[in-house]
Amino acid sequence: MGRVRILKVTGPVLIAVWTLVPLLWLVSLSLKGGDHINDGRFWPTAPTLRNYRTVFRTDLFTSALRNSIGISVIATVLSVVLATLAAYAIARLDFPGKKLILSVALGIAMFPTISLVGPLFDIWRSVGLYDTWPGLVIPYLSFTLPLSIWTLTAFFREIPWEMEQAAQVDGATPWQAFRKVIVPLAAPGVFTAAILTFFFAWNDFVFGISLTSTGRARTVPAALAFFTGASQFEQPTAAIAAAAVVVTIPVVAIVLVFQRRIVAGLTSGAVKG
Amino acid sequence: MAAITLEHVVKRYGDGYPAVNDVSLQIADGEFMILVGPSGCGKSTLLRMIVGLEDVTDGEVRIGERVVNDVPPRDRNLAMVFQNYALYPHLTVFENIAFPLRLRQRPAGEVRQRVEEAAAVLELTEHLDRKPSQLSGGQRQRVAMGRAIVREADAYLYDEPLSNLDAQLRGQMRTEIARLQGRLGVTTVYVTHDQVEAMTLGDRVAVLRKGVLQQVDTPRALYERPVNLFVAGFIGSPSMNLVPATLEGRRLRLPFVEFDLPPAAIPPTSGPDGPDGTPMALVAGLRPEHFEDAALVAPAVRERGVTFEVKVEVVEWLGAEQYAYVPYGAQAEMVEPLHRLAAELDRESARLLLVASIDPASRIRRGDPAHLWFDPARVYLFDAATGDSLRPPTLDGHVPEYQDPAGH
Ligand SMILES: Nc1ncnc2c1ncn2[C@@H]1O[C@H](COP(=O)(O)OP(=O)(O)OP(=O)(O)O)[C@@H](O)[C@H]1O
Ligand SMILES: [Mg+2]
Repeated sequence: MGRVRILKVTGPVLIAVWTLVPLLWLVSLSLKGGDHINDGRFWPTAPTLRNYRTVFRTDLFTSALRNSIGISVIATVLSVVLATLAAYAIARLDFPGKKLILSVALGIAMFPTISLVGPLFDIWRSVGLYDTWPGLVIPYLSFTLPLSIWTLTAFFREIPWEMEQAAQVDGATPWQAFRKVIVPLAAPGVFTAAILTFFFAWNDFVFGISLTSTGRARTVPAALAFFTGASQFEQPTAAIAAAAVVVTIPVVAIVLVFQRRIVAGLTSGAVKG
Repeated sequence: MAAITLEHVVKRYGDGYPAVNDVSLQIADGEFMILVGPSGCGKSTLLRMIVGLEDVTDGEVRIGERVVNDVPPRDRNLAMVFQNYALYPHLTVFENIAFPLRLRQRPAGEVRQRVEEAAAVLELTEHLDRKPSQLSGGQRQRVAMGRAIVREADAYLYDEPLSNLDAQLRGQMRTEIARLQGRLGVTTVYVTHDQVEAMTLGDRVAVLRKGVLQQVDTPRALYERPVNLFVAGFIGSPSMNLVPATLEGRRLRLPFVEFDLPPAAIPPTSGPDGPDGTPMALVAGLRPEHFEDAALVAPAVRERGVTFEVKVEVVEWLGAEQYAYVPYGAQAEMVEPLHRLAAELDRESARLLLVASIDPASRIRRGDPAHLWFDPARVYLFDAATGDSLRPPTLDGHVPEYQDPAGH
């Protein structure tokens, strides 16, 4: 018994240390002045916000931030809308090839992204999608849709059929029943899918670095590789750390804000039981 | 408001098995029709076809004069209370009840007024701002009812609406439904498993068995003149004793007693003997409540009936009622049709156990030899092969006058 309790306490602590130390180190690095980067200390001796100022003053970063936000949001909205409709059809309708769609979707989700980069680079160059927003939105969509469809299908299956039938008897058209009853009930699933998609697009490096060449469409993770220091003679490490902290903030914020919504069992109380 | 007419309605699901088979039923405008039958007999399917959630394979469903086979649910203007409530969990009680009105884009003032009226009737006023998950089973039940009654539907359909409630709440809601129907006088179709609901709520009761309509009549007529073994076994609580019997001329032989039938009770089909000269094999039906402890029957009345000696195995005294259980023996092949019926009625098997409902004043004790009394005019006879009632037509519509033998 005692051993179990020790594990219960030390387990989470270990995990927290394991995940938080690199983050803390990143933050600390972003606060260090130019000469202290390699001083080998964990805490900055003279904390400064200089790196953040540098980051926001460089065009490279601000345009990349704009691209990242725009592309991620567009990919997320499209992915969620399409996945919702597709998952609803898969959960509710009986049509030939349903199983096939689900397994193909899963297959695509398993596909290693790196193997697509080469062909996409060529195709995008010839069709004019290279270094554009759609050029990134499209691959993000195709990699996140399958997972979104799977998540949402599971959610729709959980919603009792009768919910919708009750709405129809109450006088709703199928579209009204979907919009006023099914979608609100699937909200936790929709949020989950949205967050997964957003993070995929937000964190992606492989497509971002390969399918862009200028500030027109380059996203933050890709742009970090092009960072230079505040002056030509300075190591860019601290600036990169500051930029990394800046792009991590929305991720943490989103998780904290939507955590409750994701976890909440919205369907409880719908039917007997 | 409107009448509902079903004509030769058939429903086959994917596997081809007819869940509802050739049902024809007229439900008059303003009538309260009860639908009963064992689990899986097609009650919900029938209701769902009326409301439009299930396609009709064959036949015709009409609401008023309009054939609605191909009309989507929203255009049928029927209200339905689902077997498991089907409340909208993301909406408050108020919005749940208001939902049908909102879809019809009624002005906010009218919506508020009608929801509040319905909530007052259903005693939900103080819960209007809560979500369904915060309500008890009975309250959810009432919200589901509220969503139906705020509408001005042409008919109201209930699918076992009280099946999840405890006995007390069930009684309370039953009275509520009866009151509502009495006040609004709306066409209602009501599916139930419950004997008491079936007997007390409806104008008429339709008995369904494996998708086939057996009998549609007033509760009293179903109780007094069941058309076959199935209806006889289904209606009444405790249910009718079904006993293997033979008939030879007037002489009816039961495993525990034999007696001469009164002339009026002799089935027209029976000659002096069965077809091949042997006594005719039948199933006799004896309602528990038609037995009495012979010791309590006035001598003059006892004369008219049959008295027989039994060994009582179990006695249940409930204050207002008392039941005596008497085991008996019978030949295996004669019990066969009863086993089949028992399986259909979801009972474990036909037990060769006579149930008699006797006066609570009776002093019959378990294990003691005792005498039971029975009026032969009240015996039901059924064809052992088909299960059809063999009651002579002369008895139709006329039930022999019954004198309570215990004198109250
Ligand atoms: N969607 C379906 N697909 C195939 N068969 C079905 C379907 N729905 C019902 N059935 C079958 O149709 C028959 C009637 O079902 P139904 O739900 O109408 O019974 P019920 O009388 O309402 O039973 P209960 O009292 O248990 O609610 C059953 O044998 C059932 O197995
Ligand atoms: Mg049912």
